[in-house]
Formats: sequence, structure tokens, C-alpha cells
Amino acid sequence: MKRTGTKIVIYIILIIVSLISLFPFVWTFIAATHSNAQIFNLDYTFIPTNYFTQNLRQLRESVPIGSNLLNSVLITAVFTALTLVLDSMAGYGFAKYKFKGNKTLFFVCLITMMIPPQVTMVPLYIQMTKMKWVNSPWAIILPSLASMFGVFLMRQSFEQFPNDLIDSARIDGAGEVRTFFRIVVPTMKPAFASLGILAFVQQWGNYMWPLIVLNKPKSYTLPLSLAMLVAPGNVINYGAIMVGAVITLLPVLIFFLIFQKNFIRGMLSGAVKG
Amino acid sequence: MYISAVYGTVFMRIFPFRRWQRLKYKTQKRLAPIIFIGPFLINFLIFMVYPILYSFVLSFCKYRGGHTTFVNIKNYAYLFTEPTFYQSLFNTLIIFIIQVPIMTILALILGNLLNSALIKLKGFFRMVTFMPVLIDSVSYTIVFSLLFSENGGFINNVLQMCGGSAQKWFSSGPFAMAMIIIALTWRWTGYNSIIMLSGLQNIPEELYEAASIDGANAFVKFWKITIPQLKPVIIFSVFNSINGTLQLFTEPQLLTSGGPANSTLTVVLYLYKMGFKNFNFGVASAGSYILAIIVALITLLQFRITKEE
Amino acid sequence: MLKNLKKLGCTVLAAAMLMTAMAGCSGSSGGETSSAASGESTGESSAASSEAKLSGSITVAGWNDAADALSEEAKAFMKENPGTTVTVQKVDSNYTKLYSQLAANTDVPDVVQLQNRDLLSFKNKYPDAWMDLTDLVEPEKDNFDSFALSLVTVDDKYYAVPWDVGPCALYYRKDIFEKAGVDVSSIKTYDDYIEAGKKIVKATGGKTKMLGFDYGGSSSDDTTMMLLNQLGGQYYDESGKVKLDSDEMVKAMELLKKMKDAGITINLANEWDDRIKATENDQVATIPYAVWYAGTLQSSNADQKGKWGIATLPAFEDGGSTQANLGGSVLAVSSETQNADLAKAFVKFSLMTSEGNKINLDTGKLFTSYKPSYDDDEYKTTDEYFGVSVGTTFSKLSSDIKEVSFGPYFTDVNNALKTAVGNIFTQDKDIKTALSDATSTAQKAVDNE
Repeated sequence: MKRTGTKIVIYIILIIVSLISLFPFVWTFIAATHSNAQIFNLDYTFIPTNYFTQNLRQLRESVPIGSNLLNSVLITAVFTALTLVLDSMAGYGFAKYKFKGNKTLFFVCLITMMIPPQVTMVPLYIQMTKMKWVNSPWAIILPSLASMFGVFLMRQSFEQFPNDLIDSARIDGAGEVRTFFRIVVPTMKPAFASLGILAFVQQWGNYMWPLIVLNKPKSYTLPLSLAMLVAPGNVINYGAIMVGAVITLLPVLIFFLIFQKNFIRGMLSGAVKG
Repeated sequence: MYISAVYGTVFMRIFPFRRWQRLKYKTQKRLAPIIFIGPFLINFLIFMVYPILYSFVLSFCKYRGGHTTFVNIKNYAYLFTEPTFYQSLFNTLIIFIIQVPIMTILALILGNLLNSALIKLKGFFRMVTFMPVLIDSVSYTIVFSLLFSENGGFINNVLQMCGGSAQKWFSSGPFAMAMIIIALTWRWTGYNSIIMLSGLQNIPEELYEAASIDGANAFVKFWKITIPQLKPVIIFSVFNSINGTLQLFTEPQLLTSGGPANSTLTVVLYLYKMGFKNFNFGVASAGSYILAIIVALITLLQFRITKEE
Repeated sequence: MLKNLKKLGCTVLAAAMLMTAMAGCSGSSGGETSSAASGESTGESSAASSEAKLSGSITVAGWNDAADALSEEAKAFMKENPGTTVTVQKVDSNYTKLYSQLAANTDVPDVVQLQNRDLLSFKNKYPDAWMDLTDLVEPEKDNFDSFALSLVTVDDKYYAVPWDVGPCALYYRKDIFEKAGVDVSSIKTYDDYIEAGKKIVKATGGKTKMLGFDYGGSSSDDTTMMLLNQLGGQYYDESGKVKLDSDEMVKAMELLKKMKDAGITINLANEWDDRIKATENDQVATIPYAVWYAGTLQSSNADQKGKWGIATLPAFEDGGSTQANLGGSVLAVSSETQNADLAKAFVKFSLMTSEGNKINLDTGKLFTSYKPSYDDDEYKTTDEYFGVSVGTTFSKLSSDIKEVSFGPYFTDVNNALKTAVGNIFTQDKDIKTALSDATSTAQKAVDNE
């Protein structure tokens, strides 16, 4: 009896939490089908109407949304791929090789994780202008790759990888690099998944640095383009903006819904082990 | 998603390292750290170490039109006598004193519920809880600004329907702060609860069974087993959240632009305005160094606490 | 080993190139309105042309209705000058992007719209970024409104061409006034205005307020600046020090406070967007604002056509001034431009010809500071949205506007003022204290520049 009671309470809480979590998503999708006037209207209704195509047209008239989408996809994809390669290699290097100064080097690098990124904001910007990299996707990708977070995460995971396996691979004459890619990497799926997810989500929504370093509407990423649409002095069209939000949201959502099991599993098993 | 396996194979196809493989075992082992760490380290030196040092130099300079002139500690002096800077620090502190504990407790509870043996559809609930963190910060901020609109926004309508009164989410300092805290909590609780869940799943079942034999109730079990076992995970989550709060930018920038009367101005927003609206690069750099010192102090404190226990 | 490294380098390079190429060729629509090279001949004309013939392409940045006007002007200009391309970028009026473009010295548009009050700030912070336009302005300097011209003058040189000025008036909802039984001509002073407001609030059951502004000040302090100008107030004392706690400023704040306390105001947290929203929802009965807002009303609240009238501002006391200026902008030319002749010709066409100013008024409701255009027919024709001639109405309201100096670093001063507004209207801070605090903050910021 008591068990059923607890069960019902848990269900009720979880359902409420789910509703709260989902509501803004649902609202965004509905609002994308509303005209600006309908969104402004005080007696707002939650019934979708048929303004979606008109909103989309207006959005396309006001920003190069196609380019923005492509920029976002390219930057995020390249960044995520490079993060996985560079961070896993560095993490492995730190975890499995005893060389002089290993610990010191790792610790010194780790300190940068405690330095707020805003410290590098201004100098990086000056650096980018001198390198003529303003507006370039690389201006977003490379500085983000310098974060120690992924290396830290990977090092933690690799430390749990049994040394015996590596040694036996060595005895078989596999070579260091080959050992890493053929023997070690394939067993580290969860760690890769969780780092990949984190990198993907973080870069897809990255706003502050693109705001500083991208100046041409055509080189904007999606979030930046959206933020510029609500900047003052514009004719605000929330219907169109909500369509933009849907375009920003959809790729992540689809990706997530397809891979959600791995998403969560990756998060659960790989992310943190103290 | 066999990312890692695929990636391993593909990488070896592109870069077979044939000649490398013929190198002597010892040479290989000596060179390996350079091969593995080198690429990351080069990028790290260019885009992390150099800017950090450059920023330190800039904090003693005035930068105008490409020229830097040494101004000694003028930038620091300016900040230490600037009430707005103190206010931005204070606001940031308030947010993390209020938001981080609320969210951590909620995440802890939610993580436990999601781990409960009693429920079905776990996968669904976990997925839905996790979703808010997927939305990009700009989109959700715009949506929240519409939902919280003072003049007929959804939240105020609901409040009025439930017999409450409409609140001044934008024109009252405390409410604007509350709005930002609510927004942050909405976005990050699910993520943190999944992290908690990961910790919960690693607690050996035997501990609970033993406690049950000793006659411990659910509360005692939670307090005596779950919390201590979960401590590293909780600390990780809190540390992450504090870091996030210190970098808070998008929400205050797009929701309130730091208003009303700077009452939601965060340090990072202040530094951004100083740097990229006033183009006072020197002052912005000095401010970021002050922030860095504060973060360092917090971290030290945290290490101390963890160690003592 | 070496060979492999080389290979690796090549692959990275190839990836980089692919990336750039893809980023470059993507997408087709939007963002930059009205480009499309005009006429048939692009490129070739430059070789064959005589000296006077213009060619090449420029980018022009402006915001909102002004950008729409620029787009129209670009079309007309390209028709007259085949072989030229003028691309108009829509940007925001807070210069979010221009700031970083200037600091990076990349992508600065050839021609830039600036608020007239900010030109000096920009000139001081980026001394070399602006082209000296004296040769363009000097021959016609008497044709410009002297106040507008004073804002672009640095050491007897002109660094921009004045575009519009912002004489203010009271936009009011005729239908709501009628329903509440308020006669707009009875509103002579702000006291009358407050009384009328109370009536309207009562008649609409509290739904419609008289006035909206940003209590927090963070998004805008336009209303304060307008009232200050109406009183002839300044931001600096005679020695050039910041002075935000002048008698006029205190008086302006006290008036706003009185209105807020009377319950006839509504908060527009994000002033620009929320004003449009509140207007759409009949939450404001009047908008005391500048002539350029007429264009926004027309485009953003198109369905309220015929409901809006234009009256003179109330005075602070009987017989007091009913005129004020708010805003107005200028066009400046970047010194980095590759096509100075074309940029100057376009500016001249847009701001100093009847044809350009016809478009300015028609499309953007921008009230030119170029006086010869006041005699044009366009300034006399009746506007459909308001039922009166916008040009004539506002030309009567700009005869006695008091000059104001914005100083070299107005952004700093304005930031402090915005904070003061927030402190007064959301934190209930004492007006004088808030303003004197703002004065010292602003002075400190200016000294630190």
C-alpha cells in the first residue's frame, strides 16, 4: 500500500517536471506558426495557426538564414571532430606515458581551467584582428579547442584502461599510435560519446565569442543571427524569430531523439568518475 | 553511435603511420607523448597561454586604435573605485549563492526519482529531463523573455489565473534576478540530475541492503549512504555550476541587458560592455584578472573543504 | 615520418580551404537587401568612363526605417548611375557590430549611419576612421539646420553629413481619446496631460495607460532626454564637466516620477520592442516621441491606420516651450573605403537632393535637416496613416529647438544617466542623489577615456 502511494507521488512529480521541461519547446513550435500580432496579443491562445510559411519568408528576407545554418553546422561538426581527436590523444598521452614533467605539465595546463575565459576575450580578439581571422570559422573553432576540459575528461577515462592490454599489444608489435587507435579507442565508446555530446551542445549554442568575432551577417552562426534580430532599432517580428528558433532547435533535437539512448548512457557512464 | 571505433579505423586509414611503426620500440615510446600531446599543446599555447599573458600586459595598458601605452595600475585603480564593478560582482555572487544550492538540491532529488526502482518509462523521463540543456542559450532566452513579459506574458497570466498578481519581472531588480535564476534552473537542473544519476548508479546495492537489515528507513539511507557516496559527484556538479554562473552572460544580456539599474549586471556582462562597447580593453583585462583571482580563491577554499572532510 | 607530417599538413590545409569555400558560397537570400548590380554594365564601365562617371560598389549600413529609405535611394541611385552597386545592410541602432568592426578595422561599411549625438564619440575613439567630408558640406553649409550641422563639426571640419533631426510631438490615439471624452487641444501643460491620462485609465478600466517608458533605463532613456531638451537642459556645466543633476534634469525626472505615481504609465522593459507590443495591444494612448517614430508606427502598427493623430507636446508650465528634439542621425564615410567618390556621391544623392529627401520622408519618415527640401511638395502632402501632412506638422515644431552639446564621450554619460533612471524608477532612489551619483560615475568614465 505504502509502495503504491510513493509510486504515485513519484509519477506525479516526474510528470510535472516533464511538463515544465517540455513547455518552452512546445511553445516555441506553436509560436512559430503565429503572426507577430498573435504573439503580442494579450489573449494568447495555444492553437497553432498557419503563418509558418509567411514567417519563414520574412525570416529569409531579414537574415541569410541558410548561410547561418550552414555556418553553425560546419563549425560545430569540425569542432566536435577535432575535439575528439586532439583531446583524446592528449588525454591518453597524459594518462599512459611517464615522462619527465608529465604531472607538472598537466597541472599547469589544468590551472587554465580555473581561469575564466573572459581573461582571454580581449587579447584573443586583438589576435584575431591581426591574423585577419575576424569572420572566419577558424576564429571560433581553434580557440574553443584550447580548453583543457576535454583533455581532463579523457585522461580520467584512460587512466582506468588496463595497462596490461596496452603492454600485450606492444609485445605483438603494434606500435604506440596503432595501439591507441586500434586497441584503446574502440573500448572507450562511452567517454567519446559524452565528450562529443558536450562539445556539440556547447558549440552549437555558443554565443558570446561569435558575437565578438563575427561581423558579417553572412558569417553569423544561428544563435548570433537570432540575437541580432531582437537587437533594438529593428522592426521586431517575433513570428519570424520563432521560426529561426525552430531552425536552431530542430537539428539538435533530431540528433538527440535518434541517439537519445546513447546520449544518456554516455552521460551516465563516461562523464564523471569523481 | 560507434563513434570511437569508426574514428579509430578512419584515422588509421588516413594516417597509416607506416614508417613510424617501423621505429624502434624505445624510440617510439619516447616520442609518443610528443605525438599524442603535441597537437593539442601547440593550439593550447597559441590560443590559451599567449592570450592569458597578453591579457596580463594589457591590464596595465591603454589600448587605442592599435597602440598600447603603459598606464601603470590606473585600470585597477579605476575598477576598485567603481561602484558598478562592485555591483556586478555582488550580483554574480547573489546568483550563485541562491541558484546553485536550489538547483543542486532539485537535481539531487530528481536524480533519485529517476533512479527509483518503482517507476517505468525511465528512459522517457530521463530524456525529457535532459532536453532543456540542448536548446541554445539564445533561443531559450528569447522564449523566456516572451513568456515572462510584464504586459500580458504567459507567466503573469498564469499567476493571475491562480489568484496571484502580475509580477514586474523586468522593472523590479529582485524579480529580474528571480527571472534569471528561474531560467537558469530550468535549463540546467535536468543536466545536473543526470550527472547525479550517474553517481547513484555507481553506489553498490549491498550498502543499501545491509542498511535495510539494520532497520534503517529511506531517509536514513539517503542521508547516511547516498549523500556520502555521492559526494564526489555532487562536488563536481557544484563546481561546474559555480563556473557556469561566474560566466553568466547570454541570459542577462538578452533578457535585461543588465537592468533595471544594473541590478542584473553580471561581471562578465560588465567586462563585455567595458571591452566591446566602450572599447576600454585595458580596464576589461584588469577586470578579468580580478575575476580570475576571485575564482582562484574560491577554488582554493573548495580544495580545503574537500580535503578536511 | 617527415613525409607523413607533410601529408598531414596537406590534409589540414585542404580541409581548411574546403571549409572556407563552403562558408563563402553558402546561402542566397536575405540580410543584405537590394543589392543586385544595376544596369547591364558592371566592371567594364570603369575603363571607358570619363572622370565624372561613377563605378564600383559600396556598402551602406543603417537601421530600421532609415535602412529602408537607404534601400530605396540605392535603387534610384543605381538607376541614375549604371555600373555602380550600392548594398544596404540593416544593422541595429546600438552599434553592436559597428564597434567591433571599427576595432578590428575590418568590414566597416563604406557609409555608416550614426546617431548625431554619437558622432563626436566615434570621432574621438576612432580618430582616423572617418573621412573628412568638408568638401561635400562646405559649399552648402547654409542649407543645413545649424544645430544638426554643429553636431558633425570638429575643428571647423565636417566629418559627416547631417541626415535628419528629430523634432518631437505627441502621437495620440484619436479613438481612445474620443471614447474617454478627452479633447487633445485641452492638453496645454503636463498637468493637463496627467489629468487626461487619469481619465483615460479610468475609462478603459486600467487597460490603457497614457505613457510607456523603460523604468529600468537599461534599454533606453529617450523620454528623459526629450524632456531635458524641452527644458533647454544640458549634460555638462560651463566648464565642460559632466553635470547630470542640473535643475532641468531634476525637473524632468520629477515630472516622470509624478506621472508614474499618478498611475498613468506602463513599463516598457525592452523599450523599443515593448512599445510596439503595447501599441498593438492598445496599452498606450499617447507616445511623445520624435518625428522618425512616425515611420515605425506606420510599419510596425500598420493596422492602426487612421487611429493616430499628432499634436504638440504639452508644456511644463503655461506658455512654456512645446518643442524638443530627440535623436536624428548622420551619414559618415569610412576612411577605409575603396570607393570614396562613389560613397560621397551616394551620400549627396541621399541627403542633399530633393529626390533623396522625398524618399527619406516617404519611406523612413525622416525629417531632413537640409532646408531646401522643406519647400518640396512632398513635405506638404497629406499622409494616409495620420491624416495630416507629417512634413508640415513637424516643420512647425522645429522652429525653436534648443541646442544641446553631447560632448566627446556621450556614451559614457548616457550609460550613467540610464543607471540613474533605473535607480529612480525601480529602486525608489532619491532623484537628486541618483543624479549626483550618476554625475560622478560619468565624469570618472570620461576622465578614464
